[in-house]
Amino acid sequence: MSKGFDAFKMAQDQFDQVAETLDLDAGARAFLREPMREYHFTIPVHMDDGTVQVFRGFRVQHSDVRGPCKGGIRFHPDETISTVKALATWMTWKTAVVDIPLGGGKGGVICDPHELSMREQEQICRGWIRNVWKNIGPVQDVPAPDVMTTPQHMLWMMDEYETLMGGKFPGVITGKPVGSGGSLGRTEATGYGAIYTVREALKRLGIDIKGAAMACQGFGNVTQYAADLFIQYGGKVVCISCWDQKDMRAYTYRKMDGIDLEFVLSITDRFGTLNAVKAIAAGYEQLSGDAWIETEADVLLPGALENQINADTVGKIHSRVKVIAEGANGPTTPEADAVLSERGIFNIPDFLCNAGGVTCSYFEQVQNNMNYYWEKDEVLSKLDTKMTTAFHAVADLAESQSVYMRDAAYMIAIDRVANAARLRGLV
Amino acid sequence: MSPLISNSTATTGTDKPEWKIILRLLSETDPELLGRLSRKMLNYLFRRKVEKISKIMEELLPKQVDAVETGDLYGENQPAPRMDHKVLEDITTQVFRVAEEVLSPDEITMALHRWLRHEKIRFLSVAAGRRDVPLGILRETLEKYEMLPKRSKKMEARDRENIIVGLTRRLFTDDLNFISTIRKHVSIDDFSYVIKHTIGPYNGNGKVGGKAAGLFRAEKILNTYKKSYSVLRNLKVPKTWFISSDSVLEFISHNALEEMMAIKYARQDEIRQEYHLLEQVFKHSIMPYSVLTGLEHALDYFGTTPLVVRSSSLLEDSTGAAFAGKYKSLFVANQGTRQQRLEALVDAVVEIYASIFGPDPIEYRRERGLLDFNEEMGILIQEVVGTRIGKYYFPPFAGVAFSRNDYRWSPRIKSEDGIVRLVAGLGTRAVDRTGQDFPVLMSPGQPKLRINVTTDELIRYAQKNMDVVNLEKGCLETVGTEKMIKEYGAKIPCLPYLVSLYEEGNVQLSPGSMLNIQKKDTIITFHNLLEKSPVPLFFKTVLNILEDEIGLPVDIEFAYGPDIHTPYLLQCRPQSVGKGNVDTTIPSGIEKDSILFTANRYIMSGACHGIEYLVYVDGDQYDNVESREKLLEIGQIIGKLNKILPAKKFVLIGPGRWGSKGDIKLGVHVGYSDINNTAMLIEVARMKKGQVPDLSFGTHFFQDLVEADIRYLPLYPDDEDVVFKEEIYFNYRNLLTDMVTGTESFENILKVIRVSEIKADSSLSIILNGDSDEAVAFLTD
Repeated sequence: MSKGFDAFKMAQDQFDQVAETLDLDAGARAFLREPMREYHFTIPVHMDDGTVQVFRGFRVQHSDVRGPCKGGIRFHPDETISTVKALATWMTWKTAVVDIPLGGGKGGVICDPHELSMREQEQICRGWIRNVWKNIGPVQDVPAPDVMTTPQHMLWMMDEYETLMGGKFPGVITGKPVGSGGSLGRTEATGYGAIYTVREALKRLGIDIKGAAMACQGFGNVTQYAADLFIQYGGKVVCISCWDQKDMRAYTYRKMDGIDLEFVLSITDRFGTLNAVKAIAAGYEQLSGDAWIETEADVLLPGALENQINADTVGKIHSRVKVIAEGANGPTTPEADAVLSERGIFNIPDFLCNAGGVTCSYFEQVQNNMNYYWEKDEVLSKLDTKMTTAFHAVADLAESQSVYMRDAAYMIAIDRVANAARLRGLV
Repeated sequence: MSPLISNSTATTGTDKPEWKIILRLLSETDPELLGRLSRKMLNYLFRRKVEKISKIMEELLPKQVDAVETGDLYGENQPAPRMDHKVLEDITTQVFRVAEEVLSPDEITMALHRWLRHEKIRFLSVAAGRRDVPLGILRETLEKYEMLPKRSKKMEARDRENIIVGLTRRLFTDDLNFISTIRKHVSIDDFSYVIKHTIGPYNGNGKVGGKAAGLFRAEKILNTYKKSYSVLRNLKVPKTWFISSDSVLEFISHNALEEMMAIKYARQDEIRQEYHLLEQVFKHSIMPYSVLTGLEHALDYFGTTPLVVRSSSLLEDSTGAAFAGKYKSLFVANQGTRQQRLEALVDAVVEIYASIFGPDPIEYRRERGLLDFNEEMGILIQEVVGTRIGKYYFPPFAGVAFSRNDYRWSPRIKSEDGIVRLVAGLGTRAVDRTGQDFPVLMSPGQPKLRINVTTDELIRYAQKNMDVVNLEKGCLETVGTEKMIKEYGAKIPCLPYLVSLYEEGNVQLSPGSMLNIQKKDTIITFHNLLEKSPVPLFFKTVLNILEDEIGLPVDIEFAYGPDIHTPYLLQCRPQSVGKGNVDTTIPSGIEKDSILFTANRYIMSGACHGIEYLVYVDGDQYDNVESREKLLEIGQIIGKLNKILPAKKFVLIGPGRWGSKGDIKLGVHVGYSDINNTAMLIEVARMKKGQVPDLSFGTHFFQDLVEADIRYLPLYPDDEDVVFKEEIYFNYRNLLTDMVTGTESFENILKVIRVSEIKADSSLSIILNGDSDEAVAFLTD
């Protein structure tokens, strides 16, 4: 009998561990271990060639005790209910850790958009809504784009929902383009959000952000905006790394007196790849792709890939590094976590550090529901408040309980959800 | 004899019918012509099933007697006896006597008039029938024909066909398939156009070469379908001049460069060393007068439009070898004074002549046993399709199209759905695979199925640079697409069909209004072109017609401009040739023992030979891995093997979907850089709980695979009638830990097998035949 890796089992194991630490009562444990609702349905689609193909769709609502469920819709041929359940669970913790009044959900369709025409994809989107429209909505469950789904898919879904409801409900789905109900500030949200937490972490450690150095991995959307805000605060970014399609390898570009962001952006393509010739000519050192991790800096920001800080690389981290801000999902492996904890490096765990994105989705929904849209500054200032408050709550707990930041973040998230369930009298 | 009908237009003032007067005259002045006319009358009457004529014809036939029985009369293996000349004369008399009995005098007279008119263009049959007729004579002959009034150009169908076949042989090729496919689609006037625009020695007997022939054939075939298919109506071929293949020999002898011909027999390193010198010697030689004046005429004809000078080798059509990219194609901006333009054009022609002696073409010929073939090569001078935009000149889009799709990214796409590689600007970027920049791929039979659907894919695989002619600098230049659009915006024709907008991290596929397009972020997706234009239908139609008519899969080069309704055909050749002559025929009689695996579903044509290592991920063991970290590590080890193993000498065989970004259990998590040196990516779909999983078809990095020519193969070991020798991966030494240290705990999952250990001194060949949907991997010595 094959055992193998099971994503939902892993999510449950993680929950069990934290529940044990929190000494959660049996009722709450049993309630939060499983999703509250799971919808499985079929979506028949008339294909372009006249045949009918039936697709399987899901929506998992893990918890709505703190507010409407929130989570993406994935189109993937490899989709399994185990993955969707695990991801829905993680969404519950993620919304709880930043303390936004939302729960956790996830959905998907087993399909590969590479094998479907636009018309067929539209039919899948509309079919998905026709199956669950009674169970989702601005006050029930709010989907968003995810793996292989795009804003176009979301707009088809919103249109179908509004048609069935007979009204305008842009808040049923987030991730819409600006002008079609999307929020300003979304592009900046994740990168800026990460730096709000970095700023607060440095404050707690007594390091002045002015003159502080940050080394970044990646140079995509998250890192670019993180670098932008960090420099605005008076810090310097000493390196970034990027993939070079031409050479089929990654490079780190380092400038110990700080990169000139405007210049670097001017020589960067949309995929975050720097023009090597121009960078070198401007005095940037071109180093191997993993050199960012050993760069002397106060802050490390792994901003693009999973498993970058692992048992092999954790030893290379420079002794000056005091904060690791996980802009990407899952950049640190459990083995590395143990070393970081030992060395007393302050870790801002991914689901807190990069929660700027989901917080902005929440703002998008709020603006949709009141049909009034904020200027970008207002969005970003509200984001700052949310992130800062959430960060300190986690950091306070870590400090008071002497636990590692990642554990503290899970504890605070699960405690908030359990408490909400308790107050409602559910457990 | 019957009395003549009076008042007939066909009669003279005398009692004698006109036809008799004609015959009398001819019998005295031109008995040969009389003979031809009587043969025509004989056939005419025979077609009208006149019984007496059949008898005359029977009499003409040699008496068929059983030679074995008689022993002395003639049999089928003996020459027929020659008839007395008198008999033939008698036949003339007899034929016209019968004609007089069954036809009216008018009819006979009119027939004679018609045939005599045909005689006026007999000179053309005579010239076309001579395979060595000098170019100058042929040109004069066709000019003479052209000058004739339309009435006089009429001829019998078989005569016309005979002339067409003769001209095809003389100007294009002796290839029978070519001749038979072109016969019904061309007119004599079509050849007039070619010969009028052919440069070469007056007494020369060269041809125009394979590329010119292929284009001519495709154009003429498609012209005949224009009435039935509206998408073909605006199809054009760029203005073209040809240089005959023997001009190069004239050039060589004119400059006493004959000793250069021997260079092909030199060692490869010597050729490489001498080539640059040779190129310069060529460049400082003198172009023969006949060619030079021809080029001057051509320049007058083209004006100052940029030109492309392409090789058109005789070897291309006579041997089936591709020579794709082996000889040069050179762009000439064609700007400046007349003298400057002429010099630049001559320079390009000479450089192409020199390329015949280049190390690569010679090596290519050596490999294919074509070294002793003579060096003749035709040249095509074509106007570059395009529009002037600022200082640049380029077509809005161009590319190549294949009637068979060897890179299918979905099982819904069939081989016959074809594939098109589209690029903005000149098609050079679609022809060559740069590996770093990407054309948009489209399957004309399934235009709605896209390879790239997510924002990341759309951006990563977008075309970043375009090739254009810089009219100011007078050269071919590569310019960033973004820069070009920012600078010229909506001045670029067809732009709304080529671009999508990139806003706030999202791609808006249909750009909608083009207001302020210069201020927006754009990426090349061809979205509107594929969704809202007749272009996909055009390709489907063209590829289907050409493949049907030619009887082989074809590939074409094309450019569009200035709008989406005006396609230009630039080249057409059999696809098997285009693929660099990869033989995908599955050899018969492969020994069962030497076969490692076979497949019979979703096969895309291709072949890999000389495979030395097999890298195998065991599906069952992979399934049992409990930790995500360990699963990720497998991908990392593959990445290391990819760098250690000899490039293109190993294949990766793994369960499910390589590069899966979803559930990691369903496929090894690798990026393109972890697999970019493999020769082939093989996915194994094993039945699990009664279900066969879907495979990825390489979609995660499909375009990277295409550009790097990495083949993809799905295996379904649980199918009937397939071979999958799993034991290979367990019975032979696993080299994993020797190659990557610290991988002991992965030895049960990941196997690295050296092929020569399975069978000494052997390597693995994998042949994929998309046409028969069969693939086989077998050991060869």
